[in-house]
Amino acid sequence: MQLRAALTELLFLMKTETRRTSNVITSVTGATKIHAERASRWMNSTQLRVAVVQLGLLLFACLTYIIVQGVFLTNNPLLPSPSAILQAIIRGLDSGLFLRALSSTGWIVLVGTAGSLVLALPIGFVIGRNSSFYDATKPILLALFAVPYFVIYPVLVLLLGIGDAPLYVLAIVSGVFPMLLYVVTAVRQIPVAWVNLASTYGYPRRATIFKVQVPAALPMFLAGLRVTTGLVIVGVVIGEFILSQRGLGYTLQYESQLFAYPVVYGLVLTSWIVVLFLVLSLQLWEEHVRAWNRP
Amino acid sequence: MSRADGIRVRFRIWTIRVYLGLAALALWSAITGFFRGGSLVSHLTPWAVARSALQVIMAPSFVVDLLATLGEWGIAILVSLVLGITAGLLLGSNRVSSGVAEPLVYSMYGFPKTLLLPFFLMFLGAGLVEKSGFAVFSAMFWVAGPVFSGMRSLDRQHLQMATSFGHRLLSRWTKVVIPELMPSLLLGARFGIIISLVGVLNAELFVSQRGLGFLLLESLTQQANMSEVVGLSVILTLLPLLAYGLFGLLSRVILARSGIAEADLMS
Repeated sequence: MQLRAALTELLFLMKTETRRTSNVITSVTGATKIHAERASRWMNSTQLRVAVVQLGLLLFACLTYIIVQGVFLTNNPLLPSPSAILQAIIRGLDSGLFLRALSSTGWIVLVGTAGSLVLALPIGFVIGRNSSFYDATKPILLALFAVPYFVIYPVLVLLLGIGDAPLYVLAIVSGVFPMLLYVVTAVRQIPVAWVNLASTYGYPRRATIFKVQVPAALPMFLAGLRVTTGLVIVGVVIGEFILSQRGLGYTLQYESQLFAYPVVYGLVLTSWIVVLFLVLSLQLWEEHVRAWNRP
Repeated sequence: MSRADGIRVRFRIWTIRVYLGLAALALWSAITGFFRGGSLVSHLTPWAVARSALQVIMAPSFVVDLLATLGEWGIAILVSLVLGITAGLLLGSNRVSSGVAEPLVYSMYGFPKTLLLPFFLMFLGAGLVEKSGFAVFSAMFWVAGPVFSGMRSLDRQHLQMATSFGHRLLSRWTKVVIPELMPSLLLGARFGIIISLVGVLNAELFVSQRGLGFLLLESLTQQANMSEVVGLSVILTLLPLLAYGLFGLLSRVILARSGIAEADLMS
């Protein structure tokens, strides 16, 4: 601890000194521009290296699969050839099998996420606005994050029967508590100074909410949406694995029981791409809002 | 804040918690009482749920299944922590490696790994290796994520300073890197504990011969035994809550002793 304190203090002194010295130098020689150019060039070279390594790793993984499958495990049904997987994807898309599975699960995920949002928004807003309520409920909300909600699915099936109804309820239950936690945090993170400033400038209440509070809470809210969507997908797919009549989990289970491995690979690959696209889009949106929101 | 104020605030917080708990219990009783006409709902009253959970715990086969799940969970926690922390430290320590790994780590974080469960079954069969392996795969990215972020935001100048003070590699790690990373490590471990249980239960539900997940599926599909299903659901809800609470307590003690602030779960 002592070492850390000493390091922080020394670092602060060094930073102050460095800044003072560099200010003098840059003001005299105009070296700021040169530094910025160098930093940009270095940054570009790092980004290039990262892209090259990423591409190399992807190629390496593909080649390894092709070599292992083509040379060592040619007749192993567990490792279908890339062409067989591609054919299965085309056939799956053409016959509508993949689209049916993805759209069925996707619709339940959408309804579940929207439902959890509708429930979490007002409750989260009330909890977030009240400090005593927030202090009392935060540990409970954090702990509820740890519950694997799919364990209630069998109870829901016995109550509501086999079909989509228990999946909808499971989707909402899987999403509502994580979403609530993020909404509460988003409301708590709204800087009081911004609200006070708006009030000083004579902003009406409605304008303060929509022009100050909502934009300030948006990044955390979007992070919540991203995490919640992931958790809802997990809940719904596990529910479909356990007992259902359609959807991604059901189709994967059914096809793997038929030993249709190329179809399983193709379906997993297709759904991976769809989910990655969804997750990355939400992440990009969140980053965009965060950058725009920075004071 | 004075000591008396502190006690008053704590009292207010606990009063709210007690009232919320009572309100939840009253709501639960009211809803199940309203739908009492259906025979299945009678299993869902607070007393009936507590009785079902007790019945499940008292059953002779329960201990065998509990031990099976706990064993798989323990192995999964251990391996996912080792792999996740190692991966987070190695990938986050270098600019190029962290740039390469960033999209993978963050996209795998939110990706539902359940979709890949059939592959574990295909390659590893239905056994301890498959279940723990899947749980490790599910949890290791959640462990690696916070460690990776912590390593990336590590103040390099602290390390340079320690080097200039003559600290060797081991000393730099034990006195600068680990204390700075402690909140991220504990957060990753907390995620790892929860997610590895989700992975184990998931694998047991998919295909298994024993374990609490298998017991839950069997009581649903073979017997349609509502009482047992409810009891098991309650136990499987309380088990991670207990683990989460205990580890949270442990991490708070560790951080309080080191004087370090706790990492935010949602960061």
